Amino acid sequence: MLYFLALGSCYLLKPKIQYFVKKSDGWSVQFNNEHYISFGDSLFLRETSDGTPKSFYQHFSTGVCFDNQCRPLDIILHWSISGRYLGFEMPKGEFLSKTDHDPFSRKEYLQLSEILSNYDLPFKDIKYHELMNQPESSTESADAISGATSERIKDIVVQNAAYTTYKLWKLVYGESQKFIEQYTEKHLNTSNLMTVLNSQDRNEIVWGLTHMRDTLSFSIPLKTRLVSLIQSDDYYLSYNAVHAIPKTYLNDSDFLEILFLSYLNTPDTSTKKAMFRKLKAAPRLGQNLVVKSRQSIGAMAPQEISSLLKLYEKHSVEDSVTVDVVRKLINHPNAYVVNLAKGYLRKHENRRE
Amino acid sequence: MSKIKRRALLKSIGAFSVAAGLPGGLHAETLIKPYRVKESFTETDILIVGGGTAGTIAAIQAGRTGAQTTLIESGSQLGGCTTTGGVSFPGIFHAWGEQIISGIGWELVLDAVELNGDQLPDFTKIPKSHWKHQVAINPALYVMLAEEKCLEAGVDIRYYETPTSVKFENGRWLVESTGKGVKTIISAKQLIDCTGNALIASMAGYKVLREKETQPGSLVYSMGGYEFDQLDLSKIPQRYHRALHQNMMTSKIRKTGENTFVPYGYVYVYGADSTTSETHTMANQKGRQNLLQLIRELRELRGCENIRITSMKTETAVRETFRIEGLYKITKEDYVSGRLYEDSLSYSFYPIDLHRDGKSIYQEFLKPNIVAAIPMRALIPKNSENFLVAGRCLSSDRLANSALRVQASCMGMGQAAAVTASLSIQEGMTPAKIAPNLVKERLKEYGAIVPS
Repeated sequence: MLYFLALGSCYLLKPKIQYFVKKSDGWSVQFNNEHYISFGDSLFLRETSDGTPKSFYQHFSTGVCFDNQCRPLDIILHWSISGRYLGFEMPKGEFLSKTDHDPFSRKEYLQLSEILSNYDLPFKDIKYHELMNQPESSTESADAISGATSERIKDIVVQNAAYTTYKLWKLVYGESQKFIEQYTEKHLNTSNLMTVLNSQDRNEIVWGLTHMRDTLSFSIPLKTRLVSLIQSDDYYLSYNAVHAIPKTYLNDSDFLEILFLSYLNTPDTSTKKAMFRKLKAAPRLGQNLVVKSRQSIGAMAPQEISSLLKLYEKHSVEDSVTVDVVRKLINHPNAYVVNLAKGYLRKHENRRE
Repeated sequence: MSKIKRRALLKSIGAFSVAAGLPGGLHAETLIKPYRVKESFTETDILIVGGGTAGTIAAIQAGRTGAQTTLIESGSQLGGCTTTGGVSFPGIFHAWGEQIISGIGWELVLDAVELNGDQLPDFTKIPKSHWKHQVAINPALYVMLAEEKCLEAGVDIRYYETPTSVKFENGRWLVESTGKGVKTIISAKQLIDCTGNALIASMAGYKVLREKETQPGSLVYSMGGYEFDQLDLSKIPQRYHRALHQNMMTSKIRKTGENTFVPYGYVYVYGADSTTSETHTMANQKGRQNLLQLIRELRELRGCENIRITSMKTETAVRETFRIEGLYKITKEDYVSGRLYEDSLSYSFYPIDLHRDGKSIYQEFLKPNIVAAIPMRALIPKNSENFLVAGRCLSSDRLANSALRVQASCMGMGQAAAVTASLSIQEGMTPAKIAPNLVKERLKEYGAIVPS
């Protein structure tokens, strides 16, 4: 790895065409307070002067070939530190062209950038020669693959630019992207995790949440951010944030109390269940949480009462106040709840004996 | 001691020693009385027949309402198509970025996903192919979790039994249920037919409908011993391509099921019908014969010489048999337009999906933001009392049924039917007379999503 400034920034200083995806925070160049780390193959990591990683970029000089002709492609691709596609740039004068050699319009550049931002396209399962429908008299020759764009991909390529779209998509989601993701994963620390979790992009945040590890050292701001994600209205973020709760947080009774209150407020079943699993996995429950749970039991649905009583059993919550509250459930109008309460009380009596 | 006496003595000592060295149980053999079928009578609040996709959920829900609940299942485990049939990727619980079916069905799916170490995909992203939002589950886990939840809810599960007579007398259902060595008369306040075939509705004397030609069933299997990418398909007859390709399919975006393999391969079984033991036996035999023939033929093909079966389900999964004639029949137009009813209790989201002749599937996708609904009346047979159905035999025309039959929709129906039955007992009136809003409110309390 080399610290690299001159060549990396030299290219970036040239006037160019730029297309970046929406919400691609953190890509804009600030030469005065940045430095660059080279990984070879014109792949660079951009860092702020204090060493915070910002993004990756790579310069490609390659060719897009079809009809036995190749057109050179001079382009820079940008990724976030988690490997998310951010955008592309080309030197002024360079342009992308279609099969009839017409240059891309601005609308088509935007369409291309939008396509490149979608990692879930069938390109990954399509081979180069499958981009065009094979004419009846097809042979293995490259000349023969100039039929109409295959039905399978016609909606996901820039019209008359299937090869260019495909080639760039393969570059975006190729070896470099894998390297970037692995590099960041390996060097993940609280600081760059915060960068990821504070991203404007939802996929980036999900990446951060699914890569949180118990071995990281956790900070107050990280905990605050995690709580805000747990309480997010976006249920998928909330679900992943609950899953990401590190073991160390489960020792924190205040955090567990917040988690329980979030449980009471979230309408999403998947998140609720994940929260209860975390509460069960905690070494112990704080007194405040137990008090709040007792106060809530009357308003709970039968299946929630079932979960709560299991939580009490797991953590041996059987103080006299709690036992009295459970005893009152014997008068519950629902026989299922009555049976649950009786089960809890029976086990409690057995333990006392 | 004479020679003879000595030999007899030694023999008797030997016999004694052997007996002394054996555990007592080995000599506990006794003559037993001739085999007799045990006959009994039992009472319950809600009787559910069929522990498949809908029936399992109905039973858990009925138990959770506090009703005394009995579940009859003719097989050995719960889950039906989801487990025994091998369609272990239930769906669809989400539509257009939002969850539309939750409740007990979703709770079970979630528990199976979590216990298998899997994670849910991002349902807010609308996939190009609807089936990508089906959730892959480990069927073994699902079976055990379903049973655990039934038992926790106090459900009396009766495996290996099937009703042989159904009568309505003095406001109660009398169902004779026969199984291995048992014959039980079950007296129930409410009866829910979750057989998928409207079998109990038919036995009870209610009208049921059936198409002249029904969709084929599927026997689910997986095979190994070949690499699809290595095959020269130009040398393999077209009719084998689907089987070879389908077997290799895995969802690239689906996160659930990372830790379990869900087979996608299936052979069609024309005329498959699980209504009676005879028709079900025939469906299973045909399925196995078709698969055996396919394997033999495939092994003749270049690159497929080492193909072998790696798993096969024990039963042919069935798509279509009988439907009830209900108080309301959901039409295809109702379904594709997302019609809402005053008594809508549950959603359903799937394309119209008719497997026609085994060679093609007629599909019609719902337009953006359209989600179909299921009214309570479609679960109540005409002229019935204290009787509901849940699952694919609901009242619907053929095309609507081809979409309504899928698992998440059946789970939603199961929960709705059980809550309705429970309220009927509480209010002392037949399901048709229960105020839909009362059912809706109760369903919400139990975590279900009610159309609005």
